[in-house]
Amino acid sequence: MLQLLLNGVVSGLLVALPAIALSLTYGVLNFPNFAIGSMITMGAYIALFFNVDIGVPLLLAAGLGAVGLACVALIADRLVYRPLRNSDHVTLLVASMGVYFVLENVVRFLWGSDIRGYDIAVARPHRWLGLRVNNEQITILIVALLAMVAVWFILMKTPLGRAMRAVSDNPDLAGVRGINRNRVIGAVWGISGVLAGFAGVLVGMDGVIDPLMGWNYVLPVFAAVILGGIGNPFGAVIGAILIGVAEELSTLILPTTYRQAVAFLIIVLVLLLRPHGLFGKARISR
Amino acid sequence: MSNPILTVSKLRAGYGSGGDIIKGAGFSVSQGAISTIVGPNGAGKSTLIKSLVGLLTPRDGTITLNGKDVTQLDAPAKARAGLGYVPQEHNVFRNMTIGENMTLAYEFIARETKGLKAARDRVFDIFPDLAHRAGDMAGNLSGGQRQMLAFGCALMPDPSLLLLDEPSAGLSPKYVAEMFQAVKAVNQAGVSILMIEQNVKEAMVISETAIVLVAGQVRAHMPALDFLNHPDIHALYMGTADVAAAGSV
Amino acid sequence: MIGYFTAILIFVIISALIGLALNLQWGQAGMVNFGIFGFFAVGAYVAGLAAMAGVPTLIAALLAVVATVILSALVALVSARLREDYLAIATLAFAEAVRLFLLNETWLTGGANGLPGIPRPLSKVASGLNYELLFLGLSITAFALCFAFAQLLTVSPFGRVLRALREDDLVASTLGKTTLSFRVRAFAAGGAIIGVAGSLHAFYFTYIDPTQFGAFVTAYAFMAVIAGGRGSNIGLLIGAVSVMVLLEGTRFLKDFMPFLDAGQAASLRLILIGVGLILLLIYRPQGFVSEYRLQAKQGRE
Repeated sequence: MLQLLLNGVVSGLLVALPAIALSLTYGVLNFPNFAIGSMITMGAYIALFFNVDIGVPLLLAAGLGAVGLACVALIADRLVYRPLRNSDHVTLLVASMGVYFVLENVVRFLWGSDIRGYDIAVARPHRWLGLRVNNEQITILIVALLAMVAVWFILMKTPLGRAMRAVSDNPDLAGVRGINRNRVIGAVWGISGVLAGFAGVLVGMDGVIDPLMGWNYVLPVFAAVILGGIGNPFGAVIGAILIGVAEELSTLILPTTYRQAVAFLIIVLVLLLRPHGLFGKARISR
Repeated sequence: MSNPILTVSKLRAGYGSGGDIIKGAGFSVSQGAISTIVGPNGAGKSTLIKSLVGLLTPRDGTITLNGKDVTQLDAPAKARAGLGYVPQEHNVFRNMTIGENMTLAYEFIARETKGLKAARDRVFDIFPDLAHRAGDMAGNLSGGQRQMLAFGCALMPDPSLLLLDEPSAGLSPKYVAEMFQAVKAVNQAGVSILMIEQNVKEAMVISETAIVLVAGQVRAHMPALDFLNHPDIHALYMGTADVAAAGSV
Repeated sequence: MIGYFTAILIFVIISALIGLALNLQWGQAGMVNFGIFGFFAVGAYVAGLAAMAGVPTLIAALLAVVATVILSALVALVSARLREDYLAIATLAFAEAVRLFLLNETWLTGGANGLPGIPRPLSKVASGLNYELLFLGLSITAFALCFAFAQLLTVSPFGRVLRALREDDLVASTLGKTTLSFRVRAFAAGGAIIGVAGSLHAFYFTYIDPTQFGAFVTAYAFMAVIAGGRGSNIGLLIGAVSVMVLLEGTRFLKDFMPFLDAGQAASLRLILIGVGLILLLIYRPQGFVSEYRLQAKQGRE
């Protein structure tokens, strides 16, 4: 039981990074970025390229993957989302689906569809107090916590973070206060790219690397964001951990192949019972 | 009349693909004065203010601030050029503390932090209530307190001209008086003020100039005292057919 | 060559049906359905399974329509009151749940191996190319019926109410239950057309597996609706044809770039779909045949 809880928290943390990324872009740009799944995939592959094809140690490759993905996100913003800045949010979310197609298939085009893996030594799991913990889980725990602290610090303690919260709350007023919206949006895409990039590497370490790896995270990530309340990155973290634990516990009663259905169930339940999420106040009906 | 701080001429503005709402408006605001725009509902007062602060790009005409053409600048650039703005609604960031709201109002316009403390103290002098609540969430403030905070935030970067969109709207009588007092005090400290106001009489008492906007055009531009003593003030204010005919171009 | 064109025409008709359904759900009623591929899969699998169980093909198709209508109504009942972006997430989540079910309930769906050997309608009447032409005739008939159905809904008072609800959120929220009922019915009507499309797909290919029902189906449909000018059924027809012609055209990419392997050529096509969708949104958001403007709502911003 405790083991399941631990596994659940760790897999929840895997969901938490892209969920923060999604939540940040959702808040500032006001549309759900369906390309988040292929961003995860692409981050994993950029790191894979540096790690396996060039031979850079994984830690450095992960950093390069994150930076590379931040660049990809900025390019997508410049080429796709900025020309559509004044469009309604349906146009933007359809556009993000277009971006999803482009990114996922660029990955297929460049790296093929075979299953790949990072160049890491397989180690025996550690045993603590009867719990089995492997190296990947410890890495996920450390990286995810560091990333969350960094995001918290940026959001709550820096001018950039204040500007991000301001644009997310009230873009017009933010403009009146001297905040350049496009610059803040650029920063948000950059941060989202970094988070999704690290998430991709962690997902790849935890499981396998293939072009669909990110797509499989789309539902849990959206479920986490909805559960935590749209545009609330800290709510999204809690949502992600709850979903990780729920998925893990579901294996007690459901076949493991249906783990992902837990995210679907949670989305349906939240939309039915508490559509603004656990911590949100946004108006979501119409 | 002293040097104008703001000159607007032949301004045209509207939304999306719709027609012009501001139809060639022109007026000026004197340095150091309080000017008040009045007009019937639908005259385009809010649209005018939005295009002045850069939330709406004018289609035609010019806006000159401190002798500089600022017509095409966006809101952040206009703010840096010395234009302060207090919107009527949604004028504070509700999920930030009072302190954060004030810091934010300063840092992106001044683009430095050295003067932050002095600016904050200056605003606390005018609105002492804000000082001992700096840690409270702005979203938890009452309407009047929120209005004070919005006013204070606009003052943080020390603007040369302050635009107020219905500063007394929705306030209890106690706060209305306090608000007009604050407007007067800020003006005496050297900030020129242009406001839209529904409480016409109270506003005119502290104003030097009245600007009457009807159907997107400035129909009259006169000393506030004349406006108050004008026999047709009611008609003017309500924008009846009479006035429209008299003032039409 | 005739065989090739027949096949293309049948593809066009199936995707035009999906576009027609989306045009009803999104174009008319303003309900974003990102999970079209899930409903499409349900239609195809129900028709396929029923036909394989010996049910006459027409009845199998009817069962498929009943299934997609019921599921559409249920999904709409849960989510019709939500803002567009939530609706998109909810419908996508539904489609993913369908995909999981198809992959995992091997006893019923064959899992990843899919369902081979689905019987075709009227297969004893003709064979070879003649059968292809017969199937084309069937598809055209089905499409004509669905098109007439959609057009009737659009011009009826029902369609007018839908558009009014779409344009004015305030009216929509004041009417509450009525709004919900209108939206659920519009979504279900779209679902019926997707059911027809799914049945045709299953009967034409005689083999279905979960990979045929990916998010690209949704992308096609959105491209067709946007290209055709959101809300217009005739525009949709033109949009669907031009999008399919463009996409089919990309099949010849491989001939010009022989250095690409099959996988690369396939991914290049999907990249082009994505790029096409984005370019359409940026440069032709009102479509080539404009009837309703996509940006109508942003007018006051």
